[in-house]
Amino acid sequence: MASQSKRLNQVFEAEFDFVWRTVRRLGVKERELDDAVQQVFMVLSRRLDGVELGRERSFLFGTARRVASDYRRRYRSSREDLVDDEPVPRGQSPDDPAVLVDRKRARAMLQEVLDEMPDEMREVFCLYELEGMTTTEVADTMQISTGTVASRLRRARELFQRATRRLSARLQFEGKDR
Amino acid sequence: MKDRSLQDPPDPFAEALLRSAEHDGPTPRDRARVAASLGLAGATTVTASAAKASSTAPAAAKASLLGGMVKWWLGGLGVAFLVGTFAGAPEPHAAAPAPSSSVDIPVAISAVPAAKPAPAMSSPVVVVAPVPSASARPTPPALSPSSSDAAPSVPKAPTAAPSSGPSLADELAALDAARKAIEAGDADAAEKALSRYRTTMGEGRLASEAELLAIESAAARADHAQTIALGSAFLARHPSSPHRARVTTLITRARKEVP
Repeated sequence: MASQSKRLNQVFEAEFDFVWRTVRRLGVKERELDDAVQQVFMVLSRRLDGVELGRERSFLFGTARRVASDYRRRYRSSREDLVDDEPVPRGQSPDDPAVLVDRKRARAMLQEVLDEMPDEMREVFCLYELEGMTTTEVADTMQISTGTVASRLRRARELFQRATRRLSARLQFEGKDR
Repeated sequence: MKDRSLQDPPDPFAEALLRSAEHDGPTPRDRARVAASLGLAGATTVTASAAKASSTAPAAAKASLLGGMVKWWLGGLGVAFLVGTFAGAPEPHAAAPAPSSSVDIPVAISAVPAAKPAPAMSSPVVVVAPVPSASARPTPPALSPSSSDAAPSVPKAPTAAPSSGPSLADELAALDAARKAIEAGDADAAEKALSRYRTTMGEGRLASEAELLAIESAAARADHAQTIALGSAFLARHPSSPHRARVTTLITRARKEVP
């Protein structure tokens, strides 16, 4: 019991940030992040004795994606907007080269783009592009082959580029429309 | 993010969006809050400075609040899997969200969109699993502990929209019953609990956990053939499962018993 508690503490210390970032990027709203992360670690605490040493991150990721999926499903069923609570405010003129968008707004737009991606693409994209993992690390974490990682990443990048181009065009259109 | 540019030449807008995630991360306060709600010993050390800065609550009041929170949690969830590990005091309700620093990001276009249009009618409240809310911080010491016992966080009341299926907590509770039965040596009760799980949850999020418990149940009742069969099927289905080692051990033990 004591050793399990110690291990749980160690895993929490090592992986809390990763789990927090993961559930956020997989679509859990800011106001519910604490609860979602807590659920992930609750599952870990109950299954810790069955989790192989060194495989904790993989277990946590698998749990985090299920928890995040559960939240997203509830957002949909309650017709809540998948985009986070913080509205993305309208900016200044699109032709103004000095326009600066603060990080929070950019982050909200990124989330909007991520939310458009299918889960499998989004997960790979987040781990590789945002978490900075290698394809091997992504494969290990997601328990899929590196070939699958590569193909999902390629597809996810296409989707990302398409979505950002669309968003960019929309912003320009809205800017000129005012 | 070296060599991770999405295209050549890189789209500055896309790059700016990606860069906005570089600062994703919890604050020490977030970490402390979740650690405290999980009863992790680390919470005490993690929260130490924040708590010191923000708390005026006497230690006794904190202890009472913690006791109340634990009672509420265990009552709500019906399990006591972390009993004995509650060493950390919860953070007092003083936390204001960290101000978001405004790091300017030049983007290719400048007009920023409004968020998706708000629904005409107010959104129903979200139903959440009946687990203790990490964000349900104890109320200030002016309130009695009992008043904070059942005070989950924000707009997550039972007044909500219809649930879209069993919650994670439901699944945990169902599996917990099976687990307890196995530990108590009650194979029949374990099988019933697992059967109930399969019936009510189907391909639940913890389906692989249920499979593992079924293997453990078979091992507990010395049904070696079943242990080997279920275990082998599990390994074939989940070759990279974190439970691989445990299942392999159970199979190995069962094989030794088979004549």
